[in-house]
Formats: sequence, structure tokens, C-alpha cells
Amino acid sequence: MIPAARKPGRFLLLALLLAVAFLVNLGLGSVDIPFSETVSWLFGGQPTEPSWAYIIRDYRLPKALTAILTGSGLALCGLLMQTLFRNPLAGPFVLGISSGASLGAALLIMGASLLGPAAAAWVVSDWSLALASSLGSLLVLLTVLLVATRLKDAMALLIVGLMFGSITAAVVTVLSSFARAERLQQYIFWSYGSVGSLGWSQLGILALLFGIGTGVSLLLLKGLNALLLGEHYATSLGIPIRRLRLWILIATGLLAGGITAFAGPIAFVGLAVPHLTRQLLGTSDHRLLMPGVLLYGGLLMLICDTVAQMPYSSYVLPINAITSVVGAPVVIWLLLRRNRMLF
Amino acid sequence: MKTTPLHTENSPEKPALEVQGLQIGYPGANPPLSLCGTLEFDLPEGVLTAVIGVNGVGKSTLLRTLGGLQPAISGRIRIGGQPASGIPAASRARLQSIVLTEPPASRNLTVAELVALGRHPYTNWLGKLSPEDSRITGEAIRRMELEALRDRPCHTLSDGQLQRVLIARALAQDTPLILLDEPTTHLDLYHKVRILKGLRSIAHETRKTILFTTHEIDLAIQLCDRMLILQQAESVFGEPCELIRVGAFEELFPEDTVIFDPDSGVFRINK
Repeated sequence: MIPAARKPGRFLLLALLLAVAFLVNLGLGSVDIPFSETVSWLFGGQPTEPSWAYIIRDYRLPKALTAILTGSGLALCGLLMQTLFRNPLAGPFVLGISSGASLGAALLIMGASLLGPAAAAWVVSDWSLALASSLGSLLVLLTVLLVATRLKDAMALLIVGLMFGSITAAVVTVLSSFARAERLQQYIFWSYGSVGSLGWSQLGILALLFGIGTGVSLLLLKGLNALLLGEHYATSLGIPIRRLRLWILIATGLLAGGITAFAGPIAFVGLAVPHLTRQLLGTSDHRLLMPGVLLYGGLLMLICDTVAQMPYSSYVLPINAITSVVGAPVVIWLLLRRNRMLF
Repeated sequence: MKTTPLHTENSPEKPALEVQGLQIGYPGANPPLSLCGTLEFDLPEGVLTAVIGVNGVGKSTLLRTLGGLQPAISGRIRIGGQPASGIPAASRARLQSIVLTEPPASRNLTVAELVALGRHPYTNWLGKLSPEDSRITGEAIRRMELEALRDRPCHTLSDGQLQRVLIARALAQDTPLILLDEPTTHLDLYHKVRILKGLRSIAHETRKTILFTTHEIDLAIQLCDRMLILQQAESVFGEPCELIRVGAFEELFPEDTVIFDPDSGVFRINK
């Protein structure tokens, strides 16, 4: 086995594929814009059709960027959680972190409608949605962590995640019977997941949360690597384990919360990408894995989004369905490939 | 309930590890549950010490307490002359390293990567290895005879190989004191001896102080400079031949099952 440090080619490949997927994603859509026009617009040219520039600038470009941020961020979340819980099956969706974010969003979107339409419009803003989702995911994270310190069993953690999914579903059902129809619809569309509904200002908020989450994670690289030995070994290496755990939770909460607020609960990307990246790079060293999962996550999400928008048709599939169809078999394949998933 | 110090070392330098009036166990219980009386011993530089005792007497607890992973009920531990409780975690990591019974959480690291993690207390925020760090890592790998396995992921290693990797990691941490919890469990006789002889040569050649827990009393008697016999009533510390002379091993197990033969230094089954 060749150490990953000697595989810069794999990084280059990922980066190249990401660039290609980005261009393909920009070039395809319900409106048929010639590929050369898209590329020339990117380099400052003016398309022959003025509406094309508008479509690319205000619809396709933010969508592609959202896809990258979403995929990268969720993959990073998955990596952080797998290392923190030392559990290869951990991920923001499986452990109920996305459910927590959904719960926060549901309480805000539908709960606000109880206050009356005027108040609701005022309360539900991009910022409050991001905040409510982040708080929701942080709440679940803390609970999962509490359970994790008591139960060493990997399965128990997953069951806790499932239970959070059920609680969320229950609360959503209760809220939906009181909520006004348009609020309910807003929530349901949100829960399908979409990377296409963000304008530039919302993308700014998402990018900010992504930046903070990724920045914090970068500062934790050394501690994350020590955690690969286990908490006791990390402690004996002088790593302040409580502080490390807290910062991992904050980074994960911001990333998963922010992403779920804007793009909806997106399944499996967080769980599958870290494993795919470990396979590709052949290492568990976070200094290589972290850039790796960011590239791979962005790439996978761009591909899923390209499929979801069903090129040359006006239909758009819920992206959550696509990531599940792609992600779930990947996880099963990983489980079957070896008797245990390595992390 | 005191350890009988059989041996008094008049070494000019400070002992690497001093243990005074130490009570280990579960301080959280009410009243605190102490495991093996009060411990009192000093370890000089460059000695190999085995901690023996029946199951449940507190060998691992002692090791974790000395390693700072678990609080003591009472008493004082000094590492290199400094009270352990006052040493910041980052500095303590440069004074003592530890090898636990639990396997590393990740089995996907390569041997070289895992050993290099031992350099953490010395590296920058990214954990980047300096030429000096690489040299020490390489030396640890050589000493544990792991050169051929350098790039193998840990999940492909045998128990004995993995144990050597974990010891190499502790060596790479380059601390004056190394603590090991049952480094020879699950190994066959050849690998047990190989590990213990390795530890002995490290202690004697590099002047590191090594303390390990074990059930291999016969091997420990032959290879160790000091032994600590943990017992519920009274724990004894000293050089193996002195411990044999005062009959310390005879009380270790119930006489109707196992008896100790002081002439050969081996335990025999009482048929």
C-alpha cells in the first residue's frame, strides 16, 4: 500500500473532476444554453441571448455553488462525527443531526404561523431559519454525545438517531395539523431538499457558516488525528479532550445546521463521502482526508444535482431522493466489502 | 496496609517516578473504594518494573492512575521530581507515555502514521514532522523491528505486531517514563519474550524507566529489575531475588492450587 502522501495525483484527479462537474452542472438545465456560451460567460464574455446571462448568473451559478458548499460541508460533518464517535456509521443524517435541524426548521416555519401571517413573515427569515436549524442540530448532537459517553455500542447510537427522526416526524405531524396550508407546503418543499432555491444573499450566509465550520475544523486537525488512537491515547498525548469535543460539536452544528436550513435535510452524503475518500486516498490522516472529503463531497453533490435537475426538461427531482438512491447502495456496498468499515 | 520497601536505592539523581501514600480505586464511590492498600515506591532511572497481582486487584487501575487518566483516591505521584497533579497535560505528555490494552480506535492508519502520532507533544498545530521528529519516529520503528511493516495498515497486522507498533508509538513520544498495561496478553511465548526483552533493552540502553503490568510472573522474575506485587492486604515492592528470598510470591495464589518454587523461580500447579 502506497502512503497517501505519495498520491498527489488522486487530489489532482478530484480537483479536475470537480471543475468538470461544475462546468457540466452550469451548462445543463431546463433551458438549452450552448456549452461554449456558458464557458465564455464565465470568462467575462456576453452570451448571444441576454436572458442566458441572467439564467447562469442568478440561477445556475448560485445553485452550483450551493451544491458544492452543501456536499463539502456535509461530507466534512460526516468525517468529524465518524472520528468523534469512533463509529464508521456516524453521519449527520444517520445520527439524527439533520432531523434536529428539521425540527428546528419545522418549529420555526409552522410554529410561526400560529402567531398570524404578519408575524410569521417577520419571524421566518433566512437568518432565523439558519439559527433555528443550527440550534436543533446542536441539541441532537449534545444528546447523542451524552448517550455516546454512556453506551459504547455503535448500534445504540444509530437507534438514538432513528428515535430523533421519529420525534421530528411526530412533532411535524402535530404542527402540520395546526399550521396554515401554505406554511405546511413551505415546510414540505423544504424537506425534499433543494440546492436551487438560494439567492446570492442566502448563499452568502451559507458560505459564512461553511467558512466558520471549515476553519474551526482545520484548527482541530491535530486533535482529530490523535482521536484516531482513542480518547485515552489522545489524553496521554496532551490533547485537551473536552475542549476538542466541544469544538467538534460546534463545527458540526454550524455546518449541518446551516446546510440543512438552506438545502433541506440531505441524506447519506455525510456518511458515504468520508468512506469513499478513505478508499481513494488510502489513509485516515485528517490532514489529507479533510481536503479530500471537501473535494469529493462537492463533486458528488454536483453530480447528484445535475441528475436531479433532469437536463432538457422542466422537471426537477428532489435532491434528497437522488442522494439516497446513490448513497444508500454505497453504504451497503461498503458494509459488504469488508466485515467492518474502517475509519 | 503498607507496601514494604525492601530495597533502598541510594542513587544520586532524582527517581523517575515517586509514589507516596497512593490509594487507587474508585474515588467516586461512597465511601471511596480502595483496591490494594497504600502504595509506596520509587522507580530510579533506567529500570524495568513489572506490576503483578491477581485479576481485579487493581493493576490496570494503578497504571491509569499513574498515567493521569484516572484520579487517585489519595496520595502523591511525582514524575521526574515534579508533583504530577501540577504538570500541565501538554508538558506531561513529554514526561510519560502510555500503552493501553485497548486497541487504537482506527485500524486504518499505517504503521508509520500511527508511530508518528507519538510525536504530537512536539509538533506544531498541524502535527507536521520536523527532520528530528522523523528521525525519532524512524528510530522507534527500527528498535521495534517494524521497518518491513512501515506502510502496512494496522488492520492487517497480527496481535504481536500491533503491540510492537503501539510500543513504538510510545517510544516515539520519547518520554523518560513509559507505562504499559499488559503488553504481552494474547501473545505466544516467543512473542511475549520478544516484547519483554525489547522493553528490558530499551530501559537499560536508553535509561528510560518502564513500568508494565503483566500476568507473566515467571518471565518477569527473570527479566525485570524491580517488581511490584499488588495484593489486597499488603503490596510489596523490590528486586525479584529479594522478593523470592522473603517469600513474597508464596502468598500470591491460594496454596492448594499453585505453589511457588523459590529455587527455580517458577510457579507449579499443586496436583
